[in-house]
Parts: sequence; C-alpha cells; structure tokens
Amino acid sequence: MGLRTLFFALLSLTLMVLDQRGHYFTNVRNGLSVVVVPIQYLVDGPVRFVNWVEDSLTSRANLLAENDTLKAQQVLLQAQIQKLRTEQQENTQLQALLQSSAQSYGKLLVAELLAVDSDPGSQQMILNRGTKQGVYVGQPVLDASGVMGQVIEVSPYTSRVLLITDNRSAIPIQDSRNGYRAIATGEGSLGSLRLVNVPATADFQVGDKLVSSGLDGRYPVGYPVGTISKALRNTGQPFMNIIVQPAGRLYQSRLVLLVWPAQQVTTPLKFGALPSNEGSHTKEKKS
Amino acid sequence: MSSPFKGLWLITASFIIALMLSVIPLPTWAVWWRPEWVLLVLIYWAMVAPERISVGVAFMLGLIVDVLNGQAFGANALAMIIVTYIVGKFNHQLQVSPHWQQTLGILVLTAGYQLINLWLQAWLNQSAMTAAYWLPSLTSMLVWPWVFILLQDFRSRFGVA
Repeated sequence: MGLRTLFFALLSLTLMVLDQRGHYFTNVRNGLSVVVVPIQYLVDGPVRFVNWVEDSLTSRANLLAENDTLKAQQVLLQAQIQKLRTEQQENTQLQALLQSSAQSYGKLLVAELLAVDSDPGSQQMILNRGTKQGVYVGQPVLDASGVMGQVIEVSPYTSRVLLITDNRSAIPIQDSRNGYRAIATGEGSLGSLRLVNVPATADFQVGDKLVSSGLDGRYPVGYPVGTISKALRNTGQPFMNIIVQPAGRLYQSRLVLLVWPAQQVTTPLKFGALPSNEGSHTKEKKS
Repeated sequence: MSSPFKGLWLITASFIIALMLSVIPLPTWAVWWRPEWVLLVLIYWAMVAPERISVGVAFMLGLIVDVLNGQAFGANALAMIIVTYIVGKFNHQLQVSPHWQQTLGILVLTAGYQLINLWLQAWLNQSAMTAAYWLPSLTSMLVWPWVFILLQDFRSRFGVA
C-alpha cells in the first residue's frame, strides 16, 4: 500500500501544480462537477423549498411570479442608476472633446446564489447559471449595490464566483472624488478590502467612495466598489494603510447580475473608416 | 460470499451525505465550527473495510471535495491520501484501542489533515489564516463518537463488509 500511496501522492502534487500553472484540468474539474453539482443542488433544494413554503402561505402563485419579475427588474434598474450617476459625474468633469470611444452596456443576466457555503477561509459563491447561459471565466458579477466579484470557474449549469473580499482578488479602483487610482485586494474572512501600494502623498480620505476604474478590462467602469473606512498614514512608512468596506451586499444578496461588457462603439472618422465592432467578450480569451 | 459491490450503496450514501453536510449553509457564527464530515466518514470506512476503502478511493474523494470547495485541484486529495495511509497502517491499534484513545486519534488525524491543507494552500499562496482555522479539528473529534456509532449501526443492520 505504501507504493500506491506514494504514487497517488505524487499524482496529487502534479495535479495541483499543473492546475495552478496552466489550468490544464478545467475539463476534468467540469467533469467532476457532474458529481458535485447535484450535491450543491441537493443542499440548496431544501433551503429553497422552505423559502417557497413560506412564500406560498402568504400569497398566491401569480403574485409570486410577479414578485420575482419585479425583483429582477429592480436589480437591473438599480444597477443602471448607479452607472448613470457615475457617468453624469464624469461628464461634468471631462473636457468636451469629441469622444472617440464610449463603453456602454452589453447583456445583463440575473442569477441566483445556490444556498451553499464552502470553506470559510475563501470568499466564493455559487450561481445557478453556467456555460449553457453563456457564462464565461472572468465575467464580472454585480449586485444592486456594487461589484461582487468575477467568475472563476464554469460548468454547464453552475458557476463559481470569487468575491472581491477574497484575498486572491484584486480590482482596480478609482476614487470618485478626485480620480485617484489604486488597486483593492480582499482581506479574506474580514469582509473588507485593502488598497495596496498607495503612496503616503496620495489624497484618500475616510468616506471616499471608490468605483471600478475598468483599467483591467474586466470589471465595467464606474461601478461602486466600496467606501473607505480607514485611511492612515504612519510616519516613516512610505505607504498608506487604507481599508475599504465593500458596497455590494456580498453576504446577503441572493440575486446578482452577470455582465457582458459591450461592444466598443467608435464614431466613424470623416473619411469613412469602419467602426470596430468585435463584441468585447470574445476578447476575453483566457490563458 | 461478499461481493465487492455488496453494501456499496451504504458507503456511497454515507459519502454523499457527508459531502452535503460539508456545504450546507450555517449561520455566520457557526461557520468555522463545521466538523470535517467527509474526512470522518472516510476514516471510518478505512478503519473497518481497509481492503475496499483505501488510497484510491481517498484520492477520488479528495478531488471531489476540491471541486466542491473550489480549492486547488489535488490539495484535499493529497491530505486524504495521507490520512488514509496512516489509518491503514495503524488500523489494528485504532480498532482495539479504548474509545477515548480512538477519539484522541481522530483529533490528531483531523489536525494533521488540516495541517497538510494549510501547507499546500500556503505553498500555492492561497492561505488565509486565523486561529479559528483549527476549530474543525476540535468539533470533528467531538462528533466522531456519533459518526462511529451511527455508521456501525447501519453497517451491522445491512451486513456490510
């Protein structure tokens, strides 16, 4: 048995290294999801059933359906309002030049969380949408209040989202007050974010609202990421210590939005150049 | 008389229930206290049926747990393999030792399992460490007697292995 153990142990180590370096095993992982997804649904089922029983006892079936539609619409509308507010602010600050490109919305898809908890050390959630609905790895996920995270794994009917509070997540942000840029990484189970490598001369203050700067080409521009709750400069240290509370209700929202970044729209040049219109989600070829 | 598939349903059902228990949502205060159900069930079957439940099964189970939890592919596999190997080696001592010694052994095995996972996560730069990380070892040790008795009961009732 010792020899077999050694063989499997080496195999596991190889799998780990390869999976991390080259993501060679995405197909195998998806294959295993055939076992895993039913378990997730088996756990989610009773929770969902209990919620349903509660609802049924208090209202009728078509009121329920209308309720769901209204909720989904509301999430979409609130998301649009957030985006419009930031755009308005940006417009009043920018010089009135001819815009050569503008980013607008692509498709939005509402998804629900499966009532599944995993390892409390990592901040992830499972959604009930997968490749069958066109979900892809790297896709941003938002809720009505702000950015939640990005998709890191997809299987046919479910997908796994890494929340921005996970310590493996980093999102480029911009201060909505003065346009200063930084990167916010998650602090893990603390449920907050930290801005990294911000020089002590930077102008960040407690209460500043941070939005996504879109510089990574992943998260849509102008989405609320969080509010600064602590901004300390320690004498003798070159960097500030900035803690951010996320805007999205990361641990409470059940309905979330999957976003497809839209086509880049270019205004046609005078001498008849063609506008480029590759859907930018096909640019998301992931390594 | 016993074919290799006799009672496979019980073993599979126990693993599925353990996997479900490992992801069932818990209130926020309880999140760190979750026992390592899958590991406990694996240890039980490795103890009483070592020829059937050995490192190969542990490897597959570990991979499933990795995919379920979204962890590095192979991390739990390695940790479970090592625990199963140890259970196999000390099988006889574990079976005949008095209950309190067995429970202590479970504490050591679970802590070892968590330690291996922690090392692997740190190696891959994925660790997020708090003192509460070790709580599952404690709660696993506390629920072990129940798991043991329950599975023994089902096992003898259905005449498995």
